[in-house]
Amino acid sequence: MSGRLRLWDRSRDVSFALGEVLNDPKWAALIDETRIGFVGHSFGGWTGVSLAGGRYDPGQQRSFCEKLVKKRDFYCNAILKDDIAGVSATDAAESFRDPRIKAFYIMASGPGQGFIAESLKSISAPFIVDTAGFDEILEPHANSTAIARQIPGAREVTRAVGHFAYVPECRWLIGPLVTKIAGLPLCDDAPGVDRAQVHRQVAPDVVAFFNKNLGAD
Amino acid sequence: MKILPLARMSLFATLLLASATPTAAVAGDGVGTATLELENKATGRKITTELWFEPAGGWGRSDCVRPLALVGPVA
Repeated sequence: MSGRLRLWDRSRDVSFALGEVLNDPKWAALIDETRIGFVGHSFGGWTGVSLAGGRYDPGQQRSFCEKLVKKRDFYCNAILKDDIAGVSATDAAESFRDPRIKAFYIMASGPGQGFIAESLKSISAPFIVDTAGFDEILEPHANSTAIARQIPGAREVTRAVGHFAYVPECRWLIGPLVTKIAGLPLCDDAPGVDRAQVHRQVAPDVVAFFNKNLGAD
Repeated sequence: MKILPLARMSLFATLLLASATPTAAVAGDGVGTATLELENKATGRKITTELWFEPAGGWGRSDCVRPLALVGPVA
């Protein structure tokens, strides 16, 4: 459960892992510390916002979800069923900004309503919010678009795809079967969406963004 | 606490993604890969980190495969 409630653990994890890699001469030799970028999808996108300086209030997010009656997305429906009594959130609103990361590209991200507005306004790193217009997990307007509109200078790219169009294609039969059991539409794409084609569009956009903002070789 | 349903969902999500097929966008490219099992003693959290890198002299090469098994619960 902490995977979707204590989201800020992810920010700590990324910073810790980055530190470990940079402190190891074997790996550090392969990394230009001045050109570190971040790419994340879904909660990974949330983590990017956090690492860029977004501070989070899980109570604010929960209140938002509670107020939605008819149009709760998958995420809001899920967390409102969680028993949060044993989940500590005292450290949630800390800043997890990691200045080593210079640019951010996030996709189908959220939850976005728990970020403290002032903290989003303080983000100055180059930022692209890639929005899945048909996002069935994290409703796009309240999540990706809301994030993009609050981060100064962020650019929003909206695609006519669902939440999982960014993840790998599924093998015939196996993927849909597991999806059905898991109860998540991992392999479902909106009508007319070719997931492989989406990947062919997103990948060069990501590369171009980092080449522009981190400097190409 | 409803831990079991989430754990089951996460497991299935991981299994599914692990079974997915890497796209052709990277097929044929060679990249170096390494998996680091890290532990943050301050938080007690274990972190599996997948590294991809441009092979330099002395490094082996392997087919480029996405670190699908590392994908956690999505929502």
